[in-house]
Amino acid sequence: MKKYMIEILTIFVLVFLTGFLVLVPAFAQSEITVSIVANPLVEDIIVPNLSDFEKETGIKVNIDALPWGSLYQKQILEVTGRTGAYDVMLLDDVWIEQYNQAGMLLPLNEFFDENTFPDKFFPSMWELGMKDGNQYVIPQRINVFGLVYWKTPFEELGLSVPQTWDEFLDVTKILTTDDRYGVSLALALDGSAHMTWVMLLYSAGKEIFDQNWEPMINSVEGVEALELLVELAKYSPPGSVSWRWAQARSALSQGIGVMHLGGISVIAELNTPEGSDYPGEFEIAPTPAPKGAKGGKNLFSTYAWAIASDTRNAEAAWEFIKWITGPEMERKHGLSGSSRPVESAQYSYYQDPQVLEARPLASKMRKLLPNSFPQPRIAIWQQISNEIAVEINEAILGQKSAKQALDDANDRVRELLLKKGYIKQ
Amino acid sequence: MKEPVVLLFSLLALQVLGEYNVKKHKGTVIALLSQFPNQILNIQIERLIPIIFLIPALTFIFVVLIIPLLANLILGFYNWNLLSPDLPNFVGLENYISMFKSVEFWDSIVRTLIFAFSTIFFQFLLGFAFALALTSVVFKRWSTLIRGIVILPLTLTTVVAATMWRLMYEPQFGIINYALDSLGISHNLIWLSSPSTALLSVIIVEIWRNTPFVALILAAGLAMLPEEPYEASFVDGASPLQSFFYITLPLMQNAIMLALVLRLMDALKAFGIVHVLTKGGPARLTEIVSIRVFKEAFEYFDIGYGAVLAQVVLIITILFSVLVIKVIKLVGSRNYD
Repeated sequence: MKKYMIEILTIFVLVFLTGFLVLVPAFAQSEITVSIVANPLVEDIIVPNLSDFEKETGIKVNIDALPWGSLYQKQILEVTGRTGAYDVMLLDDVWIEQYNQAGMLLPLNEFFDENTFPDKFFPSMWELGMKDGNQYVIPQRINVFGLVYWKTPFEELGLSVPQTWDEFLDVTKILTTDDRYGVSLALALDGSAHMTWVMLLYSAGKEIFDQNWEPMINSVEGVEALELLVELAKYSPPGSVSWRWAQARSALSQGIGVMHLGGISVIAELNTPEGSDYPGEFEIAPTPAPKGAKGGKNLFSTYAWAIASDTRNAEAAWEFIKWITGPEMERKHGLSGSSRPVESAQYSYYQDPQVLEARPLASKMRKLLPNSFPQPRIAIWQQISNEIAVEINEAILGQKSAKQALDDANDRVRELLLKKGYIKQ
Repeated sequence: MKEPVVLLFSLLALQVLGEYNVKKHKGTVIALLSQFPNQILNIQIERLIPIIFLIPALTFIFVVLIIPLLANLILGFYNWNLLSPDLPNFVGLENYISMFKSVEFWDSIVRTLIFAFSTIFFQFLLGFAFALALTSVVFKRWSTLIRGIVILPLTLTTVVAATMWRLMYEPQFGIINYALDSLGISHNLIWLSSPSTALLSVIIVEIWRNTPFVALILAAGLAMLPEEPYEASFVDGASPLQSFFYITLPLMQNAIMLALVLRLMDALKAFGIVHVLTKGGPARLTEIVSIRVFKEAFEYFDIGYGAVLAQVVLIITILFSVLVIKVIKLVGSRNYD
């Protein structure tokens, strides 16, 4: 009897232990490293909430936050080198195609229900990460580009917000005084120059490439957009041709410039006493378009989450992405009062009454999102955009006419596309 | 035979790790080597010792210098983009041909040479002036203060120094335009953004940053000059200017050569200052070769083409360094004649 009792007790203990092990998540003791762009959202929202995620899942998370430029280089070097350094990566949308081509991203389809999950997202954002039927990224933070302006000078002078390119230039001239510039442009080579031009091109309803990747950089609308930029630059603070986004926004915040073409999320910061000398006086509008233009659209940029193809912890990595893009964290982003772009690629964010009340920008952004589109999805966009930016700079500096600059840009980009096999002679 | 070999390499390994000083225990090493059969070690053991001592250092140099250099040379013959799904493929001289055909490449070479030679020219003049001040009897009381001020730019990291200058160059709020305004010589200069001043602005920062380096080397050279030639020249009635040109400069030949060659090598491959200040812009007005290498290799990840450009930087650096050494030696020998 005693022998049987021992056997029963042993079986009981084994069953108990097995059950305990099953109940603990399969990825317990997992550790993942997340590569993310360094900005206040990491310290203000992600890090303080990480302990909840770690307790809930047993997954230890290491955050590797780097500035934008270094992030791109480090992610590429680590993942193409198959070092396994990163499990989860936050990517700028213009990198997705490059990363995909290099085989750096893991298809995510097996992790979600393909019938319901994609419907949570705005289609233009979800499609950014789609290739050959596979989904490679989950979009999260969104910024739409448009006109940001300081309301007070408009009210004082009885001016209307410009809707066309002609009005834009006229209003800019009127707003320019001895100690103030009508517009504050960012035209540096770091991405701001070509994005400002792309904003104007999109507002005219035009594209950079046709459907076969034939460049249309020197289209009539493209040249007119650059001519407008050249004129506007005369009413922008000196040195704008080397200004990055932050410098142009800084001029706006100090009342040196009245209007700015750029990411509209900046008004969240400009309308706070810490963010500008004129809190509550900034507003946004869509990018002015040529008179009578059809098919005009907005430019957007996004940060999206992906799993590195060389990860050893794909399940744990997905758990992290599910958590960070989940409704709880989306709400925390929305309610954070952050001056950074926290608007979401998901519909539910804009249906949350608490978020809409706490963040007036959310409903304004929501209106622009359905007609917002990203920069072209091509793996060599980094090179192409640099070629365009250099030529934009040349035109702004008066070294070439707008037409000549974009003709040259078109030729150089075409040569590049030929070399890389996107088009044929 | 096996045992002494193992022992010998163990001792060398211990030396690399800092646990054992082979030089101190030369006798042990000789004893170990003496156990090698004569047909294998058909050379004098004494002559082998220096080579053995050099092995760790040579291995290190081979691993961190020779192998990467060879790899770079080989990469130049391949079309290899890190972001391409294709494996690297041999393209022969294609990367070199593309480079020589590229107008931007030649423009960047010209910019690099203007940048390098103008910076070292002014660094030499200013550096010599500071060095003379540091060693002069007139400023002896102030030499510590002068040294402290002179050395300041060297103590700042490149990024901090460049960011500081970027703010100083700011057309509206920068201290430089403010100072010019205050002096009534305002020209509303757009330092980093104008075709006429962009490269000049970058050159000024580079001069400011590395003049102290030249000054310190030259000051060390001046401090070591013998007094006898000056006493003799004084007796012969030479003026201070004649003493400077006919005694100081020739005697300083080695220090000058060292300062100029080191600075030239550095200036030809300068990167940090330009990258932080302008990233090569606006347009390509400040795009020197190293910025182009960085763009090709680490922004576009075109490793093959980037490798070819890097080789050019290396060749130019070696060529001009040798040229500068030759010129200084030639000038020095003429002075002696």
